[in-house]
Amino acid sequence: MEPEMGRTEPADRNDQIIVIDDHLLSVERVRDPYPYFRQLQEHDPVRWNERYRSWVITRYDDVAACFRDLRLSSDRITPYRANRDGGERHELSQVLDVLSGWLVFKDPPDHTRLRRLVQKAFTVKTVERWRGRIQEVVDELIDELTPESTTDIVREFAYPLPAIVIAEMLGVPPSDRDLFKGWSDDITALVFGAMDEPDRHERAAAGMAELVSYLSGLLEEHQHSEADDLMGSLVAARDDDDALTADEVLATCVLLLFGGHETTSSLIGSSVHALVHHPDQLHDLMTDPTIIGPAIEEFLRFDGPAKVSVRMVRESFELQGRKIRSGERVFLVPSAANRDPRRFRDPDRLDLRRDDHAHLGFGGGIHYCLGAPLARVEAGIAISSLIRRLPGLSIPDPASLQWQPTLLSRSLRSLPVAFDRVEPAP
Amino acid sequence: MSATPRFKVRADRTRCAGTSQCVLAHPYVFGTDASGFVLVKHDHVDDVPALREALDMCPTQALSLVDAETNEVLYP
Repeated sequence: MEPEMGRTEPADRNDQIIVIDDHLLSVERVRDPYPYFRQLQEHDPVRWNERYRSWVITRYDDVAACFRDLRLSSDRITPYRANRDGGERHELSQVLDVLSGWLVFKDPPDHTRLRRLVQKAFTVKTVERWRGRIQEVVDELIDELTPESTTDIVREFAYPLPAIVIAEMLGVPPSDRDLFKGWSDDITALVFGAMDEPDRHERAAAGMAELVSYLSGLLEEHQHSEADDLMGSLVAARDDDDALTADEVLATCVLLLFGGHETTSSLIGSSVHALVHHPDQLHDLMTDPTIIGPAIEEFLRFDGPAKVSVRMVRESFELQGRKIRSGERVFLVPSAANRDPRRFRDPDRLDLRRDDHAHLGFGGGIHYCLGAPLARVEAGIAISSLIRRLPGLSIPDPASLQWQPTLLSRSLRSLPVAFDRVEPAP
Repeated sequence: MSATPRFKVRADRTRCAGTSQCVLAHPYVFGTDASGFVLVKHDHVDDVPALREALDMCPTQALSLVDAETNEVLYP
């Protein structure tokens, strides 16, 4: 489209000269999305992606501002429901009922009330109390590893760890642990949108039904006792006279279980991956384990799990000369923002001693990741323990690594590693 | 006679994620700037238990309570 002479109105759609295609999940961009994001940042920072019928926003300042802009709605469920035909709506009905109770899909004032109550039950202090138990679970999982052949550190370690921890925090007995892995997988497939799995709707529906039914039973027990676990705290949370309803506790538990699983697994996987590829940084962290806190922030910035965050435009606004209209969809891209050279010096370099931790890996504003404190503690203990206890950690076949072909998250399918031996836990 | 306040509230704006949880918990002490980041409106407080509750609600631990004279961090 040729701009009109003397036009003062902002451009409607793309009229850039550089040709940029709109594939977000090509093989190359699933493996390494960063060069493409940099291209967007430089040439079309607020891009209309026709393929996804969404705006793609990639510069740090824009993404950060949009996270805090209430003209952007987080309710992706209502429009999704409206677009489905009858049959599918029925099949997914229960899944959508639960999802629509999730904080992540709510706007104020509903969000404000719910987040405040849930936040009361899930504070940094709550998480700190679990530090010892998390270390035990980490050590147990590492004890099981053997150095004989390659070990998939995602499947054997990064994947089970967050599921075990959040299940225990909620009050799920250890004997029921494995049930959760399956259900969480099924629901993950829907929410993270693994496009290469055509039956994901059915499996998500079945998984959700079983999970909700199980948690309802657990909730009933919690309502008759004052259990000192997270489900107990959710039941007990009060804001004046207000409290969470049973459905809200259930939806939140599903959210915690699910959110505490996939994303933290991905963070641990990508952190190990980054460390093995940066031996100088690995050496630095092994020599000075006290930098683990800043190191985790840098892993979140450098190659964290939050690739894209979806918002719906509630009220039209302008950004970088583009008109973004009510009803349109927006992709905020933390993965791009976190490597924006306008914000971070030498952004493509992994530097565990970087002192700028303002990455958007946990989002920002009212929807800032509720589980961030837990993810930080889990990933910190996990990475510290892995590098201490698995000397000679390496990735024998880096060329064969595959990332999940998903839009929203960046996650290794598997991470086969080799190591010399398993050192005993200290 | 009004006693010199012993406690002061401090906010580390580099850690603030703009969740506004502190504002909801203690609107007298906390507010936000135009970008949604925390501002301490009244930094001298007497009601420490209520303030501690507000500090606990911050998911990034951007807030602390310090000794008004020595600046020593008293909480968290």
